Amino acid sequence: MPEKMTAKKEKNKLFHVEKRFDMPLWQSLLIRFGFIVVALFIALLILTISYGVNPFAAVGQMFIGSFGTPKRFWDFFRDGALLLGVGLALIPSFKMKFWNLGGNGQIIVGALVSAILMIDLGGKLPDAVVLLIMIPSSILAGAVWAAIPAIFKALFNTNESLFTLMMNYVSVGLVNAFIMFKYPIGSHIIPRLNNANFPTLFNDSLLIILIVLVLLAFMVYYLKFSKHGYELSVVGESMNTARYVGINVKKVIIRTIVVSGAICGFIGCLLASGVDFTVMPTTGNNMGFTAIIAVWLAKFNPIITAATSFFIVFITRGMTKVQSDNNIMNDATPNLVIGLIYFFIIGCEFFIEYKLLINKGGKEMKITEFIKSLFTSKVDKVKLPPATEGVEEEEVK
Amino acid sequence: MKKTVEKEISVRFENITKTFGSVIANEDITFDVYKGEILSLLGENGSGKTTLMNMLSGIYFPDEGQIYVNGEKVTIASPMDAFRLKIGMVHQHFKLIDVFSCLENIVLGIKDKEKADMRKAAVAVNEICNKYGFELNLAKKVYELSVSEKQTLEIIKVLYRDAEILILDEPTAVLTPLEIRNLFTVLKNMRKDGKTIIIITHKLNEVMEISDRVAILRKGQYIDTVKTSETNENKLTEMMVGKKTTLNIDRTEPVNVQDRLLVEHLNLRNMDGTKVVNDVSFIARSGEILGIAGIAGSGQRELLEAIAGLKPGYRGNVIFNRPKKNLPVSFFHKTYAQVVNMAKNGAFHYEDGTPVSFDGMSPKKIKDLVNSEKVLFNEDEVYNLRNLNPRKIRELGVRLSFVPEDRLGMGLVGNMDLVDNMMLRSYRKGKGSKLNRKKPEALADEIVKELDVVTPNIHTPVRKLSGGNVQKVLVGREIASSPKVLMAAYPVRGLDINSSYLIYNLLNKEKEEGSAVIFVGEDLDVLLALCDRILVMCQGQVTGIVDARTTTKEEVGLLMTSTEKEEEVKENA
Repeated sequence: MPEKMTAKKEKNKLFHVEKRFDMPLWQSLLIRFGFIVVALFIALLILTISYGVNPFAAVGQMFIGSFGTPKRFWDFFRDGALLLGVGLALIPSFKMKFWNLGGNGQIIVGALVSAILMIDLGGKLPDAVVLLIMIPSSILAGAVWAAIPAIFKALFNTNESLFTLMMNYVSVGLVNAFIMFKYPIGSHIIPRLNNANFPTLFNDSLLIILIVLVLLAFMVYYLKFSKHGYELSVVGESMNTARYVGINVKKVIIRTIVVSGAICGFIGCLLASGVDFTVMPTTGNNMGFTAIIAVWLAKFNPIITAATSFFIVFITRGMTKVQSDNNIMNDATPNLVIGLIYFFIIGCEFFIEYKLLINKGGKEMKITEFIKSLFTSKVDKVKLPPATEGVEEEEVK
Repeated sequence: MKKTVEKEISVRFENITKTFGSVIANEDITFDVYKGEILSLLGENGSGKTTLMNMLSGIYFPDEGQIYVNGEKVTIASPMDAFRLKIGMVHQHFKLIDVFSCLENIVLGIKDKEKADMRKAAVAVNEICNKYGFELNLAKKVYELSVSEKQTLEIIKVLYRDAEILILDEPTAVLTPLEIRNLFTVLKNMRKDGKTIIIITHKLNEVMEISDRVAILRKGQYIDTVKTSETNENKLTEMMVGKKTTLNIDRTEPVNVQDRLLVEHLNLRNMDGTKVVNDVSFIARSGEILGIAGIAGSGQRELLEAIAGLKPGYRGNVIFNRPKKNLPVSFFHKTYAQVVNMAKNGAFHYEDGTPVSFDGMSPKKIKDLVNSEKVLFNEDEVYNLRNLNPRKIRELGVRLSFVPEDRLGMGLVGNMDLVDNMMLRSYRKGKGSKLNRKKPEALADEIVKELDVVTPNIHTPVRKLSGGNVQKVLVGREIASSPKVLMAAYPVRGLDINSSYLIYNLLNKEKEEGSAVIFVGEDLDVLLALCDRILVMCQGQVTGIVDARTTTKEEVGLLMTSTEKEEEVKENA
């Protein structure tokens, strides 16, 4: 009889991938952290090679860019908080496996409604009254904007990614149309709106940061301790299970996305009335997409999303500083660096989800073992006996 | 059948073993397939037929053993390898692209330029059709095709790739009798042409009609290969389901038997319009285990899902019957004022028949009175559960529990921990928006302790538990609500012997406590030892209801595979 192993080992693959099941949290955090360090290292290397940037100075500049002056310090936390706010909006929908790519659009319609009210009611009514109308209106606008794809998804199972994505363009179109209609002459930019601005506390940023922190607390409660949060996780994990226990799947989808859109709409209101004091087609600065990265990196955990949001804002603002300090003229370079860092963080998920087994001389080993084996003597190399072309026992005719 | 002595061996399996984790799908299988024959691969579900054939077609790779094709040792590491060896498989679930035309589907994936030329291909395919007697409009798009046309297309696809060895996985499962006849004619034509055909099936009548030889697998093991002409259906059944093994399951005599769940003329079609449950009627009684036997896919799952409210849109009635001797289930869903009002209208009476008035009693006192079972409801409570969703069924107060076949895909959420899974049934309880995890935690603790669930703690995601422990968690939760009807679909599938017995005992306990238990099983020995009555299904129909104490395995086995509806329905209950 031929050896039982011969069939198996005839085709040797260089490596093979196996799913991991039980990686402790500290280990996965360590991998992520390690990859960020490697990414920063490579990014700075590129800067050094192409622009002669001193890598150590660049690290310093990144910190200065985020925390260097009181204004930068507060702006950093405000931007981080706003990004976190959008992230918090996306988490419930993503937890439900509803890929809401329409955060941008939902923010923009919220901002647009706020701006319209600021322009049309500002000055005519007391600011407090305008704000009281404005905030719920923006929230409603964001909710409706998100509800449209959600209703289609629930009733006709349309693809939510495409639908929400398209809604972004529609919202940008609406803003353009509004500006053309209201300010037909000139540079098509709405001047700074001075009426009905969002109230401030101590400085421009603190109140926004506090509001987002309250939102964070609410989201932690909503996802972990409320019936709604429980239902949406069940729907996200398994629609069949949801139906099995009698959860109204359609209702849960629409409700969750309305919550998601409402928060985005509110962020839009904050942007229009408290940060930009205007509305533009670029309002939100693509936060609806950036927040996806923040949320994804955090594995839909609201508290970790806070960390990832601030990290993303940190590298973005830091790179802007590095760019200006080193007279780097093109935007492509800092974008390249930021992209590289994203790429590494997302790429490292592979090593968290799977383990790579490298085949060396017929022996499968983990990466660490493989590296070790490169430095140790080659005596322990296990060689399999060659596939024996054993004599056929029976003539097959 | 050609009676030539010299037979060319087309495929030889030698000591093939394949395991998935701890499950042994195929164990040490050795047999030959001859050239120019139709071989049936017979076995119950889970016996490893498809796994074995998937190894021949390059989808799986054997852990151990060797496959020979035309006498040569081969390594089939991918479907491409199989294609080179002229092996083609028609899968049970068609692998076609809906928006492409038939011809495009046939050509798709062919690398040879000559063969991939659409115009030439059209001619060649037409030739194949004429040769074997297929009828198919090649310009049609796949989404326009009927199920049988899709299958025809799959076969042509394989033939166009010059396959000499054809594997058909359950080819008749989706066909009407006439279509089956046509398919068989085509298969015989192909045999004449010298092709080797392997049919995976569990339908005995078809085995007898079409095949030259039959290879039988049981529970992953190769049993034997016999010539069809030298065997009969009874012998095959015995080989397929195995000899009687002795099992020690305590079966008590049913006590206090009442009709609990009446299913009347239930009809259900699945998404593509084929009938999966065909006019099924039966009664499940309290204090009794009703077994449902049948080859997997005969409509058992769909039947239970329909009853549980997961398949809206079926025809027929599901009547839940709750005699007045018991507490009115709706009682707890009424307000205090409503209950007092009902009493005024004479809805309740004491055991001796005198009417009850709740006037002036505190809610607590009323509750105590009712709980002591001294107060009875005047009318039987009868609910038609027809097309109610699971939540509505619960809200009616009907305690119907269901252990579905797909544990992690339907009964539980794999990524959630034990506590959150306990909550699935009960999270709505309590006012406000806040979840209450206290009770589910207590329940999880209790189930872990009572059923010896092996888990690090109750906050471990259930997907990390072994199959048996997952099932304990699921069954534990479902019986925690002391159900009046407990339905369990394949509750011991994939479980080791000890866990299986634990589940049997739990079912028995529920029976003794007065539940109407419905148990869908695949192991006939267990069904015969555990159940009081057995309902046998075949192709969505009830082919018989037999007394489990007096029937034999052979009788049930025949009912499982009989296509004609049995006229005589034995009822000894």
